[in-house]
Amino acid sequence: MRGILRISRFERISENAGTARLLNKAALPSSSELLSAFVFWVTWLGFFLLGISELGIGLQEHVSHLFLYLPRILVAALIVLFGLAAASFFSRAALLAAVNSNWPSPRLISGAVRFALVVLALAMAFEQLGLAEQTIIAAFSILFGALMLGLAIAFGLGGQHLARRMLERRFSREHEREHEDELSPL
Amino acid sequence: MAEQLLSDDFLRQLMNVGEVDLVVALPTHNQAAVVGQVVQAVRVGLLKYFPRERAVLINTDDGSRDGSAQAVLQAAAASLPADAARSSLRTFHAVSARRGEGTSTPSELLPLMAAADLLQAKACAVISPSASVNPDWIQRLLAPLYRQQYALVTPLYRRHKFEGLLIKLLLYPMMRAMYGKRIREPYATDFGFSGRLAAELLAGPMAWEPEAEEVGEQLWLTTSAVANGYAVCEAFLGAKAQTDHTSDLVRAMRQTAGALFAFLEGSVERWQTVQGSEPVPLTDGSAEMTSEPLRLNRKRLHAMFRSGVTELQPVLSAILSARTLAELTGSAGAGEEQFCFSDQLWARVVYEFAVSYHKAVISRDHIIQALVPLYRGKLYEFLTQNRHASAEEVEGRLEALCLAFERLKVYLLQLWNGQEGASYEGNDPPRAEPDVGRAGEGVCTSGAAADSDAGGDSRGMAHRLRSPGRSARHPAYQPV
Repeated sequence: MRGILRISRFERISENAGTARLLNKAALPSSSELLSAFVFWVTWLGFFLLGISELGIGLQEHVSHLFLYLPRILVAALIVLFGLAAASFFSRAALLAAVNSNWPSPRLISGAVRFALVVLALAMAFEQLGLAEQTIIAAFSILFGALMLGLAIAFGLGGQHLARRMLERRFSREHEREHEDELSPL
Repeated sequence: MAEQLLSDDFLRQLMNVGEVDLVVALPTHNQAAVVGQVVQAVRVGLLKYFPRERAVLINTDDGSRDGSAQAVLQAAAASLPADAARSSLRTFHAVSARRGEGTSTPSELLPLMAAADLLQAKACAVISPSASVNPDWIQRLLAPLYRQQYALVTPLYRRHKFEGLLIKLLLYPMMRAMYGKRIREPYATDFGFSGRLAAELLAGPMAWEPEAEEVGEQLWLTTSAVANGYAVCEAFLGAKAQTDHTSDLVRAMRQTAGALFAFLEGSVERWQTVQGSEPVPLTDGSAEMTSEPLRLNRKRLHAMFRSGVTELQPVLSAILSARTLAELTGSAGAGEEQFCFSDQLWARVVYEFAVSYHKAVISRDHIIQALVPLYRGKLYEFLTQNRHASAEEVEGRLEALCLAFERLKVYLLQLWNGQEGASYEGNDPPRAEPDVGRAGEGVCTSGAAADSDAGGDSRGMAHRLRSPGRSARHPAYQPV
């Protein structure tokens, strides 16, 4: 498995997607190591359960249920993995956009994007596993709704002057005057 | 290839024209107010300097809502002043096509190259409509291609010392260090190329996806020409009225640095062997720089640099070496009075970004975006250092910057080729302490060696530069 991943340059792909850094940050092994270990343990468990099944001690039904559940675990793991990669990518994009637009608190914006995407990925993974589906969906809805409401209230009350300035800049010529100070870079 | 780049309607119009000697291309976008005047200037220029040559005017319109395309065709059909019309020996053709319509690419340049190739034109001038265009531009852009066998003509303008600084501080020094040619306007909106260059570049592999939206196509043309050893020259066009006030620095960075970094990958074996640089022939006139006072918000640049370096630490640590990042952090931590961003540090930053782009350590677009706040820091340093400088002094400092890029190319090569322990020691002059004597200006010197290089070197543009602007010092200069 490791050989196949090395040949297919899985590490490079993982680095490009930002997954490698995420795993590194989380003090986890490299993505190829993780995948190899996952395949190893799934195979090992599979043969172990097959052995138990062959013993005929009345566990066949449970073993078959477990086997049926394995694809869902795999899909949930993939959802989390892609969710983390997407969270890393979009939070970085938000950070760069906020910095280059001179918005206040770029890291807060970036962190909020990352948090929202990680929560979304986890909610989807739990739903995939069928664990506390209703609870997870309700929790996610409440969390997301609260976040949006909080942002709306914060912007409406705390940032009313900012909102006014933004609207004025959007609809008046002040915006153009500000750009007169800037140099044409090209 | 050409058929894919030209829409059916465009192709039909070109076939009606037949073979020509010269093509003048006018890309337009909501410029109806000036295109009539530009078309008249083009016609007069063609009649005056190329009376016996077959010529066609090609307009590619980028979805104008003010009738620019119609204005071009109307001006092309209008009668010329009697004295100009008298020398006409040929029918003047004009065709117009909508950019990107019915083709596989949103490109502006590729269809023009394909059209020039299809019409068997020997020379093609691309002119961005502005009030500055005059008949002499036609001669200056086309004659070197048509009569002197040059493959590419890039312009030189009379520009303010603080105009086009992304080109002056990043694109020009890096291109010069990479390809060894001192082309001052590698990303021009007015330029000329030969039919042979167009045909050969179109036949070769593309350096980018033709479907891509934001690509510095002119930069690709210049890069391809110098990398492949075509004869390139510069032509002085005079003042250029700014038509594209791009204040979106991220977009400008994508079109310039992003494009240059991408093109480096396609010509590795060519630029890696180049050492030093040489000027390209200047066919007419000389470079000019003006220095009228400008109102500039330098404090904002400084603040954005500081916040950029602070907030982007996680991103920058993935792109830059620990030492470079530490120096940047130190610069960002210093106040305006002690601010220092040396030429060597800037060259190292750009090279490390280029290598990170090559290795795709993170998303390539994110790498380009992360360069923007750092460029603001260098911009701040340059504006502060040169706010009272004369054109000659500015030119000397730009020359020092270029030499820093050339010296540190070894460092880039080491990083690019993945050599362990890549070091700029020996190529990087000792970092100078902030100039206490000029603490009020809040700048640092560019390093002793760089300064001596700048002072002693007369191979650059400085020796052929004259300053038509006002005197060097401007008491009226009031930074915002």
